[in-house]
Amino acid sequence: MSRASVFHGGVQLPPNKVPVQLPTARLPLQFRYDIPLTTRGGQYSAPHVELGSQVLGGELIAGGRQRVGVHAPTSGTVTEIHAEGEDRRIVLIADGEQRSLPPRAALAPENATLDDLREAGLAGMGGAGFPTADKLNATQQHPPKLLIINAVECEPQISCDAQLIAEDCETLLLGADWLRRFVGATACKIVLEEHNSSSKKTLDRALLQSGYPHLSTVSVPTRYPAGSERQLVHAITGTALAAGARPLDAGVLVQNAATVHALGRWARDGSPLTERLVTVTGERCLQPQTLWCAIGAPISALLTHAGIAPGETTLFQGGPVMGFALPNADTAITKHSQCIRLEAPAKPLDTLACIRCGDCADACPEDLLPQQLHWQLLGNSLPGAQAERLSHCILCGCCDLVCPSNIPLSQQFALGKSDMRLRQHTEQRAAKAKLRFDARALRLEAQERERLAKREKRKAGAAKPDKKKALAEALARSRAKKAKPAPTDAGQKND
Amino acid sequence: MINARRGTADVMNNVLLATLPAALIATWFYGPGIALNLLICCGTALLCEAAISLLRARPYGTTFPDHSALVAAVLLALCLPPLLPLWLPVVGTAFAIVVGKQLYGGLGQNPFNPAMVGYAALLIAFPREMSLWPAASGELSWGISALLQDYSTLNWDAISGATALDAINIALRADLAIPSIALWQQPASFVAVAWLCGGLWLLYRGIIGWQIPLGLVAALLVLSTAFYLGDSARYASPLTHLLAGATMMTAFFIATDPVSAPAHWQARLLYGAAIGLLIYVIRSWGSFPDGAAFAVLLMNLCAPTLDHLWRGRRR
Repeated sequence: MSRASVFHGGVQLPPNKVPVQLPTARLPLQFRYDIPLTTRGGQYSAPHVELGSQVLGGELIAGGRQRVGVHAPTSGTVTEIHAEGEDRRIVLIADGEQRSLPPRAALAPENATLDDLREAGLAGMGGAGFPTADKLNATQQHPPKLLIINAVECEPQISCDAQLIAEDCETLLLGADWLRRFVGATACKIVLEEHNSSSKKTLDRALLQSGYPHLSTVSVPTRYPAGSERQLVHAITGTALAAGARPLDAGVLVQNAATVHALGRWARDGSPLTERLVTVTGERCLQPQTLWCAIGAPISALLTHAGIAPGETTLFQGGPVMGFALPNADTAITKHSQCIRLEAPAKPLDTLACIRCGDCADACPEDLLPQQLHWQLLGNSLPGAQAERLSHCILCGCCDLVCPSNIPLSQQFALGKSDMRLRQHTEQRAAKAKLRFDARALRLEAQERERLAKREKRKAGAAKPDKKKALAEALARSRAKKAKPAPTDAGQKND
Repeated sequence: MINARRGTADVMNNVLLATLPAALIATWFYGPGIALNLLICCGTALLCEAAISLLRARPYGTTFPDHSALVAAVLLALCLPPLLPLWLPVVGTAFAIVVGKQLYGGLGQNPFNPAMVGYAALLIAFPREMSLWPAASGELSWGISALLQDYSTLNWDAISGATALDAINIALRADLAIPSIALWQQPASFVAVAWLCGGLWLLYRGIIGWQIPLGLVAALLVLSTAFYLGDSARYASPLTHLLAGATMMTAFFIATDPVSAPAHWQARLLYGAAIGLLIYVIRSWGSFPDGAAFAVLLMNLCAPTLDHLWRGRRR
């Protein structure tokens, strides 16, 4: 119920939100679904079905140990399975009957495990797509004190969370309290942007009626990137996270509102994550709206549904700051597709030289000096860039937004970061190889010593019992000594 | 498309606008020679930029709209005395733009402030012409008539007068008590106030940061007060140091050039203070009456080191 403190930097952006329209529209049933098997972070789920398998809506069609579950959005037939390469997916042809698995009884958090959450297909729906079970893994040892439900849509235009709260805030609250009990947090705060007062009102009213004593709402200033995890923790707890620290190190767990809503649904009746809210908007979009889309539905169907204005159009996925251009509309909606934008082609901006004015440093929410990073990377100096804390850059793009010379700074930093990761990876591998080599050399040396010692022992052992022979040899030696005065040393012939 | 930025050209235009009060007051006191210098310097700067763009096969359109060459030209022109032979501003500006800026790679690449490079070159190569400041006048007609005279037959001593800093420098070097100067009779004081006004406006607009002007003025004020309190017959008053010469212009317009200054705010504070210290040292014990240009150039040299020392620090 309070106003949060403020993090450094950030950029004031016009919200331009797509207005909430009730009831929420739903993308009609499609003929074909391309259900992705890829989770962000390079994980792939293994198919559980075969070509020609008949599946029901909500049926598990891919998963595996430590893999996120993938479910059929509707009933139909599996016609293609791409289980190799980069673009792994299962193609489902809908039969139009929309049969689905029967709901199960509500599940209490005490009876659920991380594997259940993984099988339910839960992954970060705020744009990261990180498997929720993996994120919660660390909470098993260190239960957070505070759970933050992130409903801050700080990027302009996107209004999935506002639409979600308007339509179904009961399930969101249920999911929030369920998750709070699951991770063992004592308090849970649902965070919204200050301008989004209607969502706050809805939530506060629902909280009064439903009686979740541990839940409350908080507003943060409307300033990009207030919804970024580190900035959010700073704004709510009042202290900035140390460099490289995760929110959990400060006793805070941050979860996206849409993910928590999906969790609430699953906890209530067992329905897995097969659909999400997607905002479709942009200059070339006839009817900007936020609607339910099945995971795997083609983006082209979404565009047809929302209507495309004539004229040259560029397609984007994601908001106007962090979003990226899509080459075509043939791809499918994934668990982290928040927003699809149809924009008029933008005039490319002339990039001028950096005048080191420092506007970027004022805007940087991580308190970096982007102009210095820029110069270090221009000079190809990764160690220099690392000294300027390149690894702390969260790639929010605030510096791009304010740069008077239109320099694509965050793009340069993203490249620098990947170069650095590559270099670290190579260095780690080299260090590991050296360790292995040293260990092998030591091992071989020890083996050789052991072998020699054994031989020595065997020789000594073999020499002892043969007393007669030794006596005869000694006699022979003494005779030889008497014959020839030059001494010979028979004992040191080895080594 | 989101736009939260101000363009580089906007930044430069704001700086140009902020120099207007000082330009007007200087023209009022020193005659149309100042306006003529401004015109010559700006024209030369644009021509030099165009020529270099042509030589480097860069489209003129991408370097011209930033107006940075105009800023350098205007700042240099406003440092020059009004009775210079007309070819000297051309030489100075060409040196500033070509050697001071473009040879290093153009905008953003120059380690030194281009205007100060041009000024220092003129000051060292043409010391007599560069010290010819007319005595206080305030009459436009005087400036015009002085301009129309033939340089060769001009009686320099009749029209030129020593500036406050000249007088102090002469007295210091002769080991005499410094003359008492009525600041309100010096045109330089009024020009300094105009620079201050423009600078405060730039601060208000967020074009420049507060760290460098504060560091510079504070250091100069502390040093001059300390020495003035110690021996007021040998050292000029703090107010003289602030209002005479190029103190105000340097504090708000020259030292604040972000290209040649360090990036971190603490480093900027130190950078400003060091310039203030150097100005005082050069004025009090050096052979030049005003040391602002050399102080800035010396500290430009130190900016990369300051950046290195402040690498990776949080605010």
